[in-house]
Amino acid sequence: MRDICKTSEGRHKMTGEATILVIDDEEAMRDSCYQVLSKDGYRTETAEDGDSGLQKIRDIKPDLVLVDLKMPGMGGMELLEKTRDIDPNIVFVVITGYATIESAVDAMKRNAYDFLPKPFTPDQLRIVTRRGLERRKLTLESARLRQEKEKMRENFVTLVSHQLRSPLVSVQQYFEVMLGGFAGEVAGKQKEMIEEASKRIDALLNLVNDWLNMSRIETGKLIGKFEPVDLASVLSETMELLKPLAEDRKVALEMDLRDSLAVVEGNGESLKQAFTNLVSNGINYNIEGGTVTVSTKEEGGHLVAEVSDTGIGISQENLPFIFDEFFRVKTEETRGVTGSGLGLPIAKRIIEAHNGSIKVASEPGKGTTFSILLPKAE
Amino acid sequence: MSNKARILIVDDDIDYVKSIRAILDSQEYTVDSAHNRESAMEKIKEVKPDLILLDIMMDRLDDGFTICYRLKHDSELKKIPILAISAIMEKTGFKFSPTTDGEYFEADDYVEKPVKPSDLLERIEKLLKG
Repeated sequence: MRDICKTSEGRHKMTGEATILVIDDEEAMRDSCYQVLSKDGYRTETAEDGDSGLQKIRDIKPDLVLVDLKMPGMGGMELLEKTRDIDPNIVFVVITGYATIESAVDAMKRNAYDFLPKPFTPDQLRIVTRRGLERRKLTLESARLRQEKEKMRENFVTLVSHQLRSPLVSVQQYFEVMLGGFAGEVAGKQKEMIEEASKRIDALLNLVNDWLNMSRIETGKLIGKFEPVDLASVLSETMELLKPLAEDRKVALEMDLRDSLAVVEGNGESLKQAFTNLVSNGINYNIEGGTVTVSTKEEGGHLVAEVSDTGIGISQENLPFIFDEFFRVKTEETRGVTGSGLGLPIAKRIIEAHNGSIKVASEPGKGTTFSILLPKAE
Repeated sequence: MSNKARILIVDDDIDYVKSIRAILDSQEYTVDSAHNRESAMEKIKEVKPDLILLDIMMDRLDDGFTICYRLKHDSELKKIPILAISAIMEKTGFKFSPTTDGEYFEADDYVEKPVKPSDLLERIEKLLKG
């Protein structure tokens, strides 16, 4: 984006650097505007109709455009509309030959900043131009500040997570080195203890990751770009990813996906994260020899994915809290399960960011079923 | 040649350097280290390493990116393979993957910290063989 005013140099620089484009089919009008404005120190260009004007806007990226509303071919109104895609911050001043209030008001509604009824004096032109450029300066400045603020917030999240992760990573790397035998033999009780310590560090690293994801969802950053997503392949990839965990826990994974499954509008990576959290939950809170089944069906305008396990289940009194941050069911059976307490809340937020919803049904001793409702892509 | 290769570790965390050094020492590599952007650039020119293990966030958020960019846009130094190692998988809106972000980040390979020693050694061997 052009910077018309590096603030320290003030108004002088603004006059010197600002570029103005005059679009009018009357040669006399173009010439007189050109004379006045270039004499005042503005870089001034002219165009004789809408088409060449639009081309010039693309080429020279003006700060301000003076445009006649009524020209043969493309008029001022149409030009206003078309310029919005090039740079919405260009300031437009419309010149109205038939000084009717209606056409001026209409132009202002379409984002013109001001209007100048014909005939006008050089001083009137100067005043309108100066005000318009002042406006341009403020718009650019506020856009720049907004961007800077956004960037600072993003960097802050990245920095905090890096500062939290770095020491943990170094500790974990030492453990890996010791367990790999790169710092002498480790065996027996020592090895066992280092392995336990390493597991705890892993859990803490996961917690930091989850916390980071959580704050990204809050700032609307995690979800990423929306596009048509094939839910079946998201689910297959999720299951593939979790195979090692399932084998480790001796839990079987089953899939029942309908072939004709429609696509949803969303972000594949985020959805994969949501389903990964749900399925790994089903694996972790399962019993040896248990199963986690993922199935899908269509229901009206929605796709329904179900993740059900044959695990320990959730009691009625705990059920309302399972989507709360850091809530974890603490019983004899869950003691061996490590988790951050953020897996389900993250899944819920991702699903809701997709205009979907998530429901849970559970019976202690039998298992839990999560039903995820997602709107079909149009 | 690969067992005599000279490897430069660039990382601001001296503990991390120490543990990586222990892994590399097992393979008789010659190991150097640098702890910030400036000393890294000097060391690279001085010792001409066969491979660089590069951290990303050091004093500045993007030191690793800057070093990588400078090396890969230098006619002589660009042939040195870079294995990026970072504690952070992605910066907001910016994934550190040479496959998806080669345009911005031209590291030859990427691995997340902490790294399994066997995985690290495998990747290093592969890069040294070219």
